Amino acid sequence: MNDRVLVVGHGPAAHRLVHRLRALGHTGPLTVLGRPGTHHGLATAVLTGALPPDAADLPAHPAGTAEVHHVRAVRIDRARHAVHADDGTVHRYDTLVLATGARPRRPGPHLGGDVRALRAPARSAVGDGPVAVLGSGPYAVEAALALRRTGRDTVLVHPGERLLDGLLDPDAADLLAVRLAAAGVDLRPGRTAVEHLPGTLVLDDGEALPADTLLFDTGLRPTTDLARAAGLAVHRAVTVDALLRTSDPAVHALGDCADAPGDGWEQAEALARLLTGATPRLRPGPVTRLPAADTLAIGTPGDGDQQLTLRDPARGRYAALGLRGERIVSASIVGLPRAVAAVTQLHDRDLPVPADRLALLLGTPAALPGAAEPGPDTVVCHCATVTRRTLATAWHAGACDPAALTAATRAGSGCGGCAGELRALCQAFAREDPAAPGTGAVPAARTRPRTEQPV
Amino acid sequence: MTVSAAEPQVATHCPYCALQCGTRLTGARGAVQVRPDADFPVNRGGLCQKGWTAPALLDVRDRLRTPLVRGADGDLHPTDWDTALDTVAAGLRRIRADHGPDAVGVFGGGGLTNEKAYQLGKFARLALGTSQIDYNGRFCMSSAAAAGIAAFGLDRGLPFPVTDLGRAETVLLAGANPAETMPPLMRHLERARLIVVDPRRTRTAERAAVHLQPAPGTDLALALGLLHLAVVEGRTDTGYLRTRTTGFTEAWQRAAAWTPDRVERLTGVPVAEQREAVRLLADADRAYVLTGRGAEQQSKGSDTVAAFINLALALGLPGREGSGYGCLTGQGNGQGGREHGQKADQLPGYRSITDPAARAHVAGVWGVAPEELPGPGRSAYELLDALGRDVKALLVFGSNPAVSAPRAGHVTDRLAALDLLVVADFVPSETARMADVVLPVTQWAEEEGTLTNLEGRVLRRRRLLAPPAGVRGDLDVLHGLAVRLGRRADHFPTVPETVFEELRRASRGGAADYSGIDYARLDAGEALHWPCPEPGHPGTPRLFLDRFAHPDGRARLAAVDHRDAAELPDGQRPLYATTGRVLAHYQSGAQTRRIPELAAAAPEPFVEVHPDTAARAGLGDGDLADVSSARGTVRARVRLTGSVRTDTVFLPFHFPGDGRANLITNPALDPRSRMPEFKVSAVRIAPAEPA
Amino acid sequence: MTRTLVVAGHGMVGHRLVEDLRSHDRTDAWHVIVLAEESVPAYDRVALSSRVDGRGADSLSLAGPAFLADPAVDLRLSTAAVAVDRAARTVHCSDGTRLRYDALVLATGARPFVPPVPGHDLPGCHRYRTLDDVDSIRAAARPGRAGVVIGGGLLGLEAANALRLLGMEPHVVELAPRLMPVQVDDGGGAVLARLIGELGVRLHLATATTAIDAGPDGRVAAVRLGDGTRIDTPLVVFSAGVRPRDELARDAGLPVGERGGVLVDTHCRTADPRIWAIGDCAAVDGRCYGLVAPGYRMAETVTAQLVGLDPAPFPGADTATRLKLLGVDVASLGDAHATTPGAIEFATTDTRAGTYRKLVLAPDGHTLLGAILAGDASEYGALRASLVHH
Repeated sequence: MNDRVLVVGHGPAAHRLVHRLRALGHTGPLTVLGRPGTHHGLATAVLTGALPPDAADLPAHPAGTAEVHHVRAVRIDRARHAVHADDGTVHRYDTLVLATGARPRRPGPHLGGDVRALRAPARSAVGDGPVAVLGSGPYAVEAALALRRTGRDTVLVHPGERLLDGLLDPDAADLLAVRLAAAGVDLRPGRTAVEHLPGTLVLDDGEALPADTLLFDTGLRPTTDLARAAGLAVHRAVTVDALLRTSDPAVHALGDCADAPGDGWEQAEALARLLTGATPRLRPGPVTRLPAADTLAIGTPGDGDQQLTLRDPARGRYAALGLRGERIVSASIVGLPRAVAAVTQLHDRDLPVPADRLALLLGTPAALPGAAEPGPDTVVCHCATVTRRTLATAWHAGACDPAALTAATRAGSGCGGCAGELRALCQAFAREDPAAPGTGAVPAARTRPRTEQPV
Repeated sequence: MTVSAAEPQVATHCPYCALQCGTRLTGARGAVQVRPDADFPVNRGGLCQKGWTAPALLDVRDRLRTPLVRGADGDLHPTDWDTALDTVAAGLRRIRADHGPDAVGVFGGGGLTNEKAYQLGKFARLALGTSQIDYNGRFCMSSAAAAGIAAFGLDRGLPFPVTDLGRAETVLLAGANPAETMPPLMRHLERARLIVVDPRRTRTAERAAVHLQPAPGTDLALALGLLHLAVVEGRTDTGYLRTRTTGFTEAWQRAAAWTPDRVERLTGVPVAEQREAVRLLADADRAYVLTGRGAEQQSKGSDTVAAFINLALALGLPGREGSGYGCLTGQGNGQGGREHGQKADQLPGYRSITDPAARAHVAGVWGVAPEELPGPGRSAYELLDALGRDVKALLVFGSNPAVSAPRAGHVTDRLAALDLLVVADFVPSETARMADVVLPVTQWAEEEGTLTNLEGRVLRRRRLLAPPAGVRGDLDVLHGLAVRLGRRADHFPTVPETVFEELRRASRGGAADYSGIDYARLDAGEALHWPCPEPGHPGTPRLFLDRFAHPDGRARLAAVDHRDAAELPDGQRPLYATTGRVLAHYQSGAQTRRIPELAAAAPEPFVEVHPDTAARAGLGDGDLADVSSARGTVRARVRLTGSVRTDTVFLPFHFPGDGRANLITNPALDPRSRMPEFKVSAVRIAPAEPA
Repeated sequence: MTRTLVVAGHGMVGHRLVEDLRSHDRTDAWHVIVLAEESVPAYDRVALSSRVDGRGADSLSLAGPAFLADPAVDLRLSTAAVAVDRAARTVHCSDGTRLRYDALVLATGARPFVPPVPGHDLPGCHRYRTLDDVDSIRAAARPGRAGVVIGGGLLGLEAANALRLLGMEPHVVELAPRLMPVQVDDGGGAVLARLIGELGVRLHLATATTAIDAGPDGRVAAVRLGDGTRIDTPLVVFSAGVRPRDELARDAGLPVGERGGVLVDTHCRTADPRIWAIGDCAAVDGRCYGLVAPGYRMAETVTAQLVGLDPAPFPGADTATRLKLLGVDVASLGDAHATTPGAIEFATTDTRAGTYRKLVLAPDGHTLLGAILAGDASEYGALRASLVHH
């Protein structure tokens, strides 16, 4: 709790870590090196113009956080627990957190004009002209949908046969493409971009598409130079264990520079918990969510001992769930927003799936075994606990309209929610017993029938 | 039904919740009849089962009719009033001499009339000289109060008349279930499309256009997410934000991280439903955001309420006729009870006890020097937790903390560790049964006074019957004790109207200014909502129409962020437990459990369990189950229902003994409001162990 | 006065009609003449494969001693109907007799379809329909060698089981991508394929039989498939579907269905008021069912008409089937292939338990329209009940 924590890098993951460390009671010195980034997840809203660029600014740090914006870390001296910056300053640490992020991988050399990476801070909205999006991953799909929904002509170009590169099973991926097409997104599967000139994108089959702006999400290159030079284990990204520790236990890594499950936000929460002595909770398995397309992918399609499949082609809905025992290990869902929400929660919290799995996927109330049919002892008015039987007795004693029933039994005197039901019951009683007391207002019964009351 | 001219008749209000339904009482003791007042705008002739059966409360079988003092044999024995009061006074004097004035605590209640609440605060500060006074309203209203004061500079449950809701197009209810807790309120919500935020599919949720069903303890994130969507979709009222508020940028920078996707993932509420809720709110010309205990009774309750207020402010609702934010106050005098000084940090007129000007004003009214007034004391749970340690004696008025406090098993142990426990009540509640001295006091239809309902309207409680022989009013009790403790008799009057006159003066210039209100105006039928700063002032049914109560006149958005509940389910305790009310009972049930018709409607503790969850635990409908948290175990009968999530069980908190839901609840406190986390505990459920 | 009913055919459905009639005809109003083409009375064709493990014809026989001794029933074995003279109301029999009828029920069944692949008529090629077919397969079986069944439907799998019981290594060739294509879908077929494969049956799906080659002895030596596979085998069994035997009706000038079968209405009436058709030879409103359960329902409706009861019409599309094939439970009900517009399919495949269950639901997501069960059909009764209920 009193350690010196030094964070190198200042993107949203680093930012969140600092906030959570303080919130969880870390009292020691806290230093962040680097210029603050922007909120993850708002880039698309800035690109479409829904938000001004400064709306993505991160909030100020809690008091007592040392922020060093204008330096770059150049060397880690692990032996002395120190980081050297390019201005000659030296920053000592007990715990070092690498949050150096990643750079977008550019799709090709011949792409000029208004070309922007989707996974980078957005500095302005794109123009109103046609937009081409390169990539088949969730960022590309969501951006294409969002841009199309603001009325821009949008084409999505990706080299593979299907969207999401196998995260979804083929049926789900095909349906996702159908949904995109239905939303008006032009699709060019199996194609790559070879040249972008102002206003035009040329594909590998020679097709020229109108495109004022080119947006791409064609992978990330984790920034690992610092870690590599310090002799930390690095493969594609900085290697970390389940507790986000690098090969040096005093050095952690998180966010896009680290080879860890979950997103930077979750990792920040886990690491903040770990560093403040609480139990870290890292969620299992890869989860890909496309809320704009009501789409969810979990794990490897087909994994599990039991496969549940829901097909509703008429409504463009599809779900496949793989279970091991009662736990969800894989999922491909398209077009079922409630199932997307519920399945994610069950998976994140490692909860068993409910017995009524059809209801889970359709998002309807679960069928309950033994749900009682309405009978004479069904309570009609909950505010006064009045049963159908009591109402029938009162009706036969002459209380033949809703107001008289209320006067006789108090039914309907509380929230008023059963007013419609009282009307319907009067009609039903009359149908059941046409010979019974007929017309005219009947004075309130002097004693309220309470036949069902226990003594 | 005819009423003979000779029969006494009185217009008063129901003894239970903050709706304070208008009623007409007739008849002599043993034959009192009630009927709802068709002209009172709040209930418009409606009444729930509790109100209908309230006359039975006057003659419950074990009504306390004589003071009781615990004898050497350990049992409570009847005695006369002088003996009882002498015993109490002697005990208090001894403890104060041995341990100082703060060794005596006072625990009040949100059901006490304004006069009693005021007098209780004065009694604690002057006659006892203790800072250790708080009340059960801390468990009720404190989070909404803290957030409301921070946002608007003032806390009045509804800053508009209830009847305004009747014209609303959209109403968001966050953690409120009025269809069961205050049914006649629903009559005002018949027109509106309801958005109900509740982990349970309550009767209120069944009437909703949109039911958002978040996991317990995640509604703060949901509120942040709704604000996020309102901003990204361009649905905020930017002109209003610019001219009537401050703090939007900082609030947004927190909410900016709560994308709909992240919110869905944490709360389980689908993005499409979040979006629909925002659309319904933003598209309405007249819309309200209302919070209840579900949002408030959490260790982050004040931030949760603040986040819902942020949403309301971003949409430009508060301070506009026909729209707004409000909290649905719970207890009968939950509003007035939080204004007049029975709260640890507060003086009458909703003044802060740390504000020198407030201290000077109140000390002046009380005829003492400001320095004589103690400072702030402990909050309710902290006070109960200190019993038997720093606090050796406790006086309880209108409360039953042995059932209603969180971690009730521990609280019961603390109560048992006291040197002196004095309870004033009209039934032998679970707390009264533990007392050293029990003082039998009057109840609703036996006394005069005022209460302030959920809309800040001051109402008259009127007496139909003389109290039974041997029963005294709370004001008499306080008078008797104050005199025995050496205070001047005329400083503790026993006539309610006299106390109210003093309350008016004490409240003058405060936030809750009653100085223009008197019994004559109320008895003449005037509808007076505070503040009413001058005689002849019409009162203020709608607050904030021109300005908010902060010095700059602007409302403040709060820079709040989500945090987890103090305790989350884990492998050991895999379920959330949440607690609440049922229609037939009120609070700890000390009153309603004694009424046969209500007891028949809800006779015993139960736990609502999803059938899947019950099946995994080996439980069937009607089985007895043990629900255990880190703090204790409650035993209740299983009720299978699809209205709870599979990860959540629900327990009503009205039952005594091993059926006390509060045996499991978490006393983790909100850092600002000191509200305990009643609504979120991690538990496991299993078939009941044989006794 | 006693009238004469002639029943042309003594298969399972024809037999059921006679039994049904006899139990309702308390006054012996009808004298029944049953023309049986085979030399034995009706037997349980569905259980044909059990014949190979030594059970005699008797154990499969449906005609008990009471039936055989019934004086009102004249069962003529090895006697087929060869022509109908509607004007004279007579049936000409293969033994040369002519029978006058007051009522005639055609229950002539169906014959196996043999695809016209080269070599289909070589010695060693068999069909799988009658006891005689089974007896010839038994005689030709070579334990330890491969035996090829062409057709992966219901009967094909029965035939494969027969070969397995005869000690051969069965191969099943199916043109469709799954087994039992009529009754189950791909998911159910996959479970079936796995379970049946585990029993040692080799499956060749989504492939055609291109030729049957003869060996030097002129008998079957190998089967060649469209995917290039060549299976060395001395024995081929055709079970690639059936064709209704509607010649009697055709020749008598009665209308037949577009795809064959004696055209009847939902009461199984032909255009001639004295002639009915039931079972595999009948095309009810143009549709042939090819299953025994619908045939029984047809028999019931005709019985009711013959004894003057109010006849319930043949209920139509209830092709609900429940079978145990090679020990594997399979069931198919209602709109199993979700052809109803807007239908929703909800399937559960349990690879550990080896079960498949698919519900077909109406657009409300609730009302059951059909179902497929494989590996475990214990829900069949409940599902069937809720299907009927709706």
